[in-house]
Formats: sequence, C-alpha cells, structure tokens
Amino acid sequence: MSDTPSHNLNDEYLEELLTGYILNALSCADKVKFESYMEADPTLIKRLEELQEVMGLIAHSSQTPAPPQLREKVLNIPQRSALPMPIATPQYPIVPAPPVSVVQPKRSRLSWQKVAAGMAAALAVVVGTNFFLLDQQLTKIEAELTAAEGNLSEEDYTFDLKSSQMGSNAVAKVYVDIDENMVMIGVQNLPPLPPGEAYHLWGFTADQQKILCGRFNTDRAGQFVDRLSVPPGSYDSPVKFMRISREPIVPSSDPTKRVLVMTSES
Amino acid sequence: MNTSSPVANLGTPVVKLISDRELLDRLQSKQPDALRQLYDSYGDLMFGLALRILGDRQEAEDLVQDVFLTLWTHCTYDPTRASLKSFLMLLVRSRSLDRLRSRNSRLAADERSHHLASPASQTPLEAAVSDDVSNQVQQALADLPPTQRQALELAYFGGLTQQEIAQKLGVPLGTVKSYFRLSFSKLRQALSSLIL
Repeated sequence: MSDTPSHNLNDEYLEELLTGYILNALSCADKVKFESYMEADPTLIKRLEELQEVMGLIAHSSQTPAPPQLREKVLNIPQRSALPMPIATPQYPIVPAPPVSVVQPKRSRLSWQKVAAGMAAALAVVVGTNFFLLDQQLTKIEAELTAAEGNLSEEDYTFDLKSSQMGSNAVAKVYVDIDENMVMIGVQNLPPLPPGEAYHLWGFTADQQKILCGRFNTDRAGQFVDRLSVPPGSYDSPVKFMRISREPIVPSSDPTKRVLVMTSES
Repeated sequence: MNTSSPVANLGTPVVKLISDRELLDRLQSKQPDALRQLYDSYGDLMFGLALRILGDRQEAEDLVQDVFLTLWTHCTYDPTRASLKSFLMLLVRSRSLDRLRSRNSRLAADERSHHLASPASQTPLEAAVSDDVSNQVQQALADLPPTQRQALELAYFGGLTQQEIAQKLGVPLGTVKSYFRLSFSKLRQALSSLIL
C-alpha cells in the first residue's frame, strides 16, 4: 500500500508516516520523505504533537513504584550540584575528584558507558559555573583515563570547538566514542535558538564523510551538556574535525538557512 | 498545545496544583521544591517506563536519576510544544532506548526484543499499585487486536523499526505501517478523555 512511490498523499498514508515517525520506527527514506512533507505542511507538526500526547499515555501501562532510595537521590541533586566558587576560594579544590573508579583498567579500550555517568555528572556541575573548569575537568578525566589505560583508544577523540563568528565567545568540547556510537558535548555561551531551529553537531571523517552526530539547543544561559547517540555504522574512519551549525529542524533546501557557528578547525 | 496540564500524584484525583509552565519556571530558577513536585508526580511513571525498556532495576534507577539531573541543570522543556508528562516520557524513552541500543548493539533485532514478551516482573505490592489512568491505558491496549498491540509494543518499548517488526512478525512492511495507524487511532479515541 504505502510501500510504492506512486501513492497519493491521502490521510491514511500520512497517518502511517506520522505514527512511524513519532515512534522513530521509519526507514531513513520514509523519514526524509515525511520531513519534506512537514516542511511543506506545518500542520503536520501539530498532528505530531497530538500523537505525542498518546505516546505519553502509553507509558502508564508500565507504571511501577520506584525504589524509595531513588526519591532521596533525586531530591539531593541540588545539594550535589552545588559547587564551591573556585575563583573566590582558590584554596579549595576547583572541582570534585574525577570518577576514577569507573574506569576498567583491564579493558583494551575505554568503556564509554562506564565513564559516561560520572562524566555527565561532573560536566553538568562544572558547566554551570565556568567553562574553563569544564575544560580542566575533562582534561583531568582524560589524564586519569590515560594513566589507567596507558593511552586513549584510537576510537576515542576529544575536540575543542570555537566560534566562527566575530564577537562570539562560545566554546564547546566534544568527546567522541566511535565504538559505543556516542558523543558527549558541553557548550557554553551559545545563545538559545527559537522554536523550529536547532544546533546540529557534525563530524567530518578522514574519508570525507559528513556525519550528523546530533541536534540540540542551549538553555537560557547558553549552555548545553549531554550525551548524544550516533546511529551505528554511520562512520568507520577517524573523525578529523567537528562543526556545529545552526539549521531549521525541518531540513531546508535553502542553503542560507544553514549557518556554521562553531568548528574545531584551527 | 496544552500549557496547563495538572500535576498531581498519580493515584489521586486529578487536582490542579501547579501548571507545567509554573513548574518549569520553578525548575529553571533552581527551586528544589520543583524537583520534589516533579518526582512525586512522575517518578513512578518514569521509573516504570525505563524499567520496562531496560529490564533492569538498577539501570532504570540510574537512568531516571540522570534525567532528573538533566532537568535540574538544563531543562529544555517547551510548554508550548507538549505537556510536561509527554516531554518527560519522551526523554525517558529515548534515553532508555539509547542505552538499550548501546548495550545490545551487537545483537540482532530478534534478541533485542526478547525481553518484551511481558512487562518487567513486579512484586505483589507493585502489582497492587494502580490508578485510574493506568487502568484506562491498560484496558485500551488490551482492547487492541493482539498483532497491533504487539507491533506497537515492539516499537515503543523495544525501539524496533517497522522493517524489523515486519520481519519479526512475518508480515509485510505495509501491514506493520497500518498496524501503527490503526492502533494509534484506537488509542486516541479510547483515551480522548485523558488527552488535555
């Protein structure tokens, strides 16, 4: 029925694309097709939002009482996130000690999953205060990992990105783990985008592949820290440099809507 | 889109305590009380969803904690786009599926979906906990034809693509697409009173 390209854009067909899209279950071809329809018809976004409410309700079918200790851990997040002000009080450690214990020294390469939780917490704490500290913290973590493992795996990369626009002091750090199909990113001083636009993180490989590693937006303070998953098999050669562009969420053929904002190229 | 869906403890009558917008404002202004309200309203729901997808209590607990940390440090919720509950479920589901894919990246789709045969096991106490919304949703899902429900659950909780589901169920791809359409249509109708 909807597998042939000769179909009409009837409502049944659109509904099939909508439900497949909201479940993130479409093939790449169907996804691209649907996004082009969305670009042409913004009312589809409204329909997607309505389906999103149904999606939210489905979660009720698996509602389970959370363990009591989880509530305590969550309520302690503000305390754990509180940092001493390092500039005002330089006699104290600038940041908490890196989570060394999460490293598995016997493995031949870094285990992203094992270090990610600790790094995420550390990054989230640090990025809220001073980006220099984020850089320092990552450097310290990398040093710890290097000491533990001998050296970083060939499949792990760290990139420093700077703004490509005059007058901007935006900075970013990206940590790439090809084997785990993940990147971790921390950004500061990058203004939040209006609805309909997103920052796009791109990786460029040695064999000239361009990979979309993820899309994000910054908060009111111009910050963003998170892990992004990259589709398995997206790339199989070393990442040479990374860029962040500002683009519409719905892909546009208008090149003026794609603006390079940051790059790791010197 | 709704911008004032009520936040109330699940299992209690729906009482408008605070709007999504107000809760977001409190969260962004770093008021710890916002975290408590958020957790008491959605903690069980978030944990249950993560547990169903990951099938591991410790991993589900870690993930929910991680999501709350994200909300506290840089909440990106936009109340004009979706209800807070939908946003949270989207966040939990996508992160859980990310973890699942990462964990099982070398396994075939068939192996990935193997733990979906039944919801995560519950203790008698857990099984006894229910509320009107959960009952309504469970009933709506139970009313779907088995193949439609199975296809939906494989996508929602297992992160399988339409193609993978078609292979697993041994049906044409177009059939899976229509399963999605029909199941959403029925759910939307059955749950219309819950969609604000």
